[in-house]
Amino acid sequence: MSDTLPLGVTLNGIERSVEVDPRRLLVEVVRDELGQPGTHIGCLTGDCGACTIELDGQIVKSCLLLAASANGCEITTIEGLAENGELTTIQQAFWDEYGFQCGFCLPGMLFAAKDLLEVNATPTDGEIRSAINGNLCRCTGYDTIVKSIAEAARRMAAA
Amino acid sequence: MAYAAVLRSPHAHARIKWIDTENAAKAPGVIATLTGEEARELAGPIPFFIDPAVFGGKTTEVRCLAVDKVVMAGQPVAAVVAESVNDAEAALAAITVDYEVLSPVLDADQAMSEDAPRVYDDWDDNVVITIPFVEGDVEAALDAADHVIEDEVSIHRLSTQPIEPRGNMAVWEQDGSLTFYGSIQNPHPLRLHLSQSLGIPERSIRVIAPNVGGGLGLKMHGHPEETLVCVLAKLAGRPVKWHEDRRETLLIGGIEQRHRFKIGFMNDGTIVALQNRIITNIGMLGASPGWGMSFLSALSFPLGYKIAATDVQVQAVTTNKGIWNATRGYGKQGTNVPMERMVDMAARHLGMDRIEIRRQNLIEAHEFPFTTNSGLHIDSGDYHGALDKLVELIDYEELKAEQERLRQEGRYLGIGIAYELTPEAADIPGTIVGGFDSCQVKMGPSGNVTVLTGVTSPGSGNDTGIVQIVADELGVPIDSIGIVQGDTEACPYGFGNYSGRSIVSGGNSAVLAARDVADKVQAGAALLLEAAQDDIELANGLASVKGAPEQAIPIAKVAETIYTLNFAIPGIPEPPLESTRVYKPDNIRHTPDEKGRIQPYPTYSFAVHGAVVEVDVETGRIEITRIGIVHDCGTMINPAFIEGQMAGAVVMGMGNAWTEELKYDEDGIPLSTRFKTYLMPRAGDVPEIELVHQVTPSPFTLLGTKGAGEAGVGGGMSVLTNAVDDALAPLGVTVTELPVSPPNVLAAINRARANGGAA
Amino acid sequence: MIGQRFEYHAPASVEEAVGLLAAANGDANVIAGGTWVVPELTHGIRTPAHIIDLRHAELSGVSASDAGITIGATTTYSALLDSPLVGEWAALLHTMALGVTGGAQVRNQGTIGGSACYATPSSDAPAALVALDASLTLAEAGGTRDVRAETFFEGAFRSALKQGELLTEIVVPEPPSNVQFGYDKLKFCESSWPIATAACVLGLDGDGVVEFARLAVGGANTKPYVVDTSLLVGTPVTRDLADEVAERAREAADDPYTDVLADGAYRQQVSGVVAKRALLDAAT
Ligand SMILES: Cc1cc2nc3c(=O)[nH]c(=O)nc-3n(C[C@H](O)[C@H](O)[C@H](O)COP(=O)(O)OP(=O)(O)OC[C@H]3O[C@@H](n4cnc5c(N)ncnc54)[C@H](O)[C@@H]3O)c2cc1C
Ligand code: FES
Ligand code: FES
Repeated sequence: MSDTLPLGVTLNGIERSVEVDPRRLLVEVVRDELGQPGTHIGCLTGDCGACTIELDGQIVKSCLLLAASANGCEITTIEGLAENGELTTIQQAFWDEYGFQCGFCLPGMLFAAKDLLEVNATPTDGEIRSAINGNLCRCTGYDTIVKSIAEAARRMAAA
Repeated sequence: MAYAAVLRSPHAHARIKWIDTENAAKAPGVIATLTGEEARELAGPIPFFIDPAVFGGKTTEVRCLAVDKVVMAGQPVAAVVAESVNDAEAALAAITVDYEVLSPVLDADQAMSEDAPRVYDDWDDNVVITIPFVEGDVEAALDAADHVIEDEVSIHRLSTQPIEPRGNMAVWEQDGSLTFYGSIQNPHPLRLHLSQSLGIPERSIRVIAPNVGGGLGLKMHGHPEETLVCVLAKLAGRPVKWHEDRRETLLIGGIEQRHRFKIGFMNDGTIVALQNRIITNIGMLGASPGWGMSFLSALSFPLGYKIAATDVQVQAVTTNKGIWNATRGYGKQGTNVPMERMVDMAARHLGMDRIEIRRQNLIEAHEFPFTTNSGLHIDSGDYHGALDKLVELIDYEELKAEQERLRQEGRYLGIGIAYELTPEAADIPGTIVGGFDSCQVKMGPSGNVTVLTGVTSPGSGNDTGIVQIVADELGVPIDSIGIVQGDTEACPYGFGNYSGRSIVSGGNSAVLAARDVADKVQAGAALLLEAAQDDIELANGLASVKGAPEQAIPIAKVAETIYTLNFAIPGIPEPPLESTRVYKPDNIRHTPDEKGRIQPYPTYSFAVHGAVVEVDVETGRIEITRIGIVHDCGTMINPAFIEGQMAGAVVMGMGNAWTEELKYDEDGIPLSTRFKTYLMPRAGDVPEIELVHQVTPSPFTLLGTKGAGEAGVGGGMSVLTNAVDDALAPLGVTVTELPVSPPNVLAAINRARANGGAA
Repeated sequence: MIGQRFEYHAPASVEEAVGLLAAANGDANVIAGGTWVVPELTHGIRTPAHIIDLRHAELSGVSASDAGITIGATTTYSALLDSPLVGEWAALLHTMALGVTGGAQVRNQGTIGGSACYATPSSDAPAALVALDASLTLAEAGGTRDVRAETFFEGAFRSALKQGELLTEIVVPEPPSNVQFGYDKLKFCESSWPIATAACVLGLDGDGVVEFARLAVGGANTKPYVVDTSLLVGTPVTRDLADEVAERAREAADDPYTDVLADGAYRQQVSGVVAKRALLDAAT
């Protein structure tokens, strides 16, 4: 039984390879071995969504994956969203509309919002709520998150 | 870095016969193992955040790892430190513990019976403390009342569950000093407690609370893992980190309580008497401040209702359920829910409108400040004004008409009304629950400002609020101000975050400190502009002469002059431009009055809530369709933050009352172990929140602010419960049991139907 | 965090996968989407010596065949939602997949085969597969066999899947052209597992008279069951008949499932409600 496996991924556009213990979850490797702690751990059961990342273009909860399963995949984490330090439209809208308080749920919320707005540029409030149903927030009561996403949609439409 | 994992008791009540860690010590990657016996040699007991003994109750010794006996499932019994979390986790499986399983006592009523097993062997019974609050002759008042309702209301065990679990890290330096990093709410008090449990001087410990992913009471300390991680790091000879797993977070609960009451009222709706016996099930008695919520659930009666005679008594009972910690609302939801149920019950009994009965009994605006039966001194308020605004906000009359229409169609719409009072920003004498806090404001030669506070921000936005306050006082732009919180080495002494206190205690001390600095800047500017100090205004980064805006000098220039030309310019104020101040709110009184009552809360925020639900009477499922709130927390520093706090609190309260419940099996083993069995609200469960502010400043605080952050939890719980009750009134259901989860609601409907219904 | 060490395998084909399964002699766990397995590994509930990850085993996808439509075992809920074939021929599965909670993330990760193999009563797919009279293809080193959904589910967390077997695909027979689907799911709130589900397949003639009906209820009993709907055949669906069907659904819930969210009595009571609602949904 070998102690580690080689893992090669493209992380936020950069090719990375690390040796990982097969027991490691993708979320752990992203945070520790790959040094991107913006992805959070809230439950390790797939319920809270704080560990959401993009894997080969689809959003996934990275606590539900063994790191080894992601070999050869492309990964985007919250650290990979802003380009040259400039917040994305969605991030800026969350900032302006008080879309977070403690911010722990924020990475997951941003990916859920991005995923929604990519397929639905003009979502209703109901569609926004249903798009973030996989993500828990205990601080905001969701109101300002919904407003942030609606505002992001407006700004993207205007751009 | 090394990683810790904790072995927890699989039994709710058991004697530990022996523990064998030999195999674990030999497991791959393991650096150290620790048992309760060993830990007892290395650390003392964990000091109580609030010791029941201070109030005449019973106490016990709390250790970071159980010695001899475990009294709850999940109690730490041993620990491992290893090279990786995975190795640490694996090694736990190699530890053997021989338990003698004892029968657990889980129900508080049962725990009070003569022959109940004792949770703590040396106690006479399982009652931690009994606290009475009596005012007037209740028996006589009940006799004289036109109507008396005798009933019960029970609230289940729930928890706040911030999305970030707890996490601790301990780093020992060569010189024996310790740095503790943690997702915690109260760095300075924790430093004191760590020094006591570890037996090292307070000065040798630095506690750092970096950005916290939500505190919500659950991260107030007294948890075993704080002392434990320090002991493990010492043993391992290197930094040790421990991350809590959600299953561990879900061991921590609160609130579970039963109220058995009689309420007496007159034909016109005036409530004249309240007798209430409260029993709280606090589970294992821990060092964290949770058990103390029992006290608040009783003390807060009868909220802002003018009830002449009240006799309220709470008994906090220990059982073999999980430990309590503070839950946002700190026990006041335990007053709000039953009180609001009682008022609705009285209204239904009389056929009186629920807004009317509240108008009839709540303190009127001209009666403030008002001393309640338990001695609370309510600062200010306009409850009737808020009720009027609520009626308009939710269009109450139209809602009632719609309800009638839908009832004809066999649909069950419920309109909930609830009033909520939130005593906030507590100071409890003889404990480290402090009602004041400190702040240091420092301006450097560039005019930049650093604010260091004793309060911490668990993501509630108080940091931004405090920066804004300082910016306003100093007249400098917000981006020239930095704030440092949560570091005992850098920040002035403070109590951290709880009880909605941050803006009251932290914000006001920032005002005082900033005003000191502003004074010096004004004095300097006056000298440089050759004007009188009283005429200098600070705004937009400029010091200018009132009425002569062209006579101005940048504040940064004044600061630079004070620091660099202090010998050159005679009479210029002396550096540094720094001040540390404490703010003590006026409205706290610890000397007992003639009835022996104290007044630990300076401010009393309040709200009135309206909610609309539709109940599916075939399944018990609830749809929440509207939430309307009129909220009053005095002067608002940043309305957007207050709205955010309120929305978060109300939704949490609704979840608390609805589908969140910490359940146990008959052996006391927790069954709610993940967010699929402890069901917290998601975005699709709640509608947009309609919030209206009313501003009735506190006459007792500097800016007129009151606490914000706890209000909403009790209100959300009450209004949802009342709405469900209202929806089911035609079926003869009276809701007396929380949560109003679908199975409980359906069971209540079944019972009412079996009894032939009513109405 | 995962403590127990294991050997990780990522087979590239079904043959390789069943070979690994056979070699592991029972001490292996298959991972499809991992939405059940991985948290159970994390929390030490499963401690296998071998993990067989199906991610690269070419088991995903939807295709048409003579028998109907064939759904690869590791087809995710989002792949079902994206499939025009499913939309056209098995709209019931589309509705079912749409209702899976956990957000787009879980729909991107969870697989229909994983749901079937886990066989928890708190799941959407089982009743839908039973209503559609789907059959499940199970492969082992020696060969394959087909099992009808109705017999595949044997109880709570128990299925016909034997040690060493792999679910490779699910075949849904092509429905007649006049078919209508209905689906009803009771969950307590967005966080909740499905408590009870009902799936209905109804054949109606031009006048709305029932030609055939198949109604399955999940979550109420420890395994999904088919409700006797014979009384519907030859008449239009009425409220009274739906109430009658509800009563039959309730009577058939004679082995109700209990978990921390809802006890057997509750599930039994609501089984009739979801059955009735799915039937009425299909009829309209
Ligand atoms: C937040 C959240 C919400 C959820 N909501 C829902 C919901 O609303 N409705 C619902 O039904 N479910 C729900 N689920 C449960 C679950 O994720 C799904 O049902 C999913 O389809 C399971 O599939 P999987 O591929 O992830 O299973 P895995 O975890 O990969 O596997 C499950 C079991 O099946 C075995 N297995 C998997 N594939 C095969 C195969 N091909 N051959 C043999 N054995 C196999 C595995 O060994 C394991 O025992 C939810 C889960 C989460 C985390
Ligand atoms: S940590 Fe992955 S969903 Fe919560
Ligand atoms: S902002 Fe704290 S969890 Fe969402």
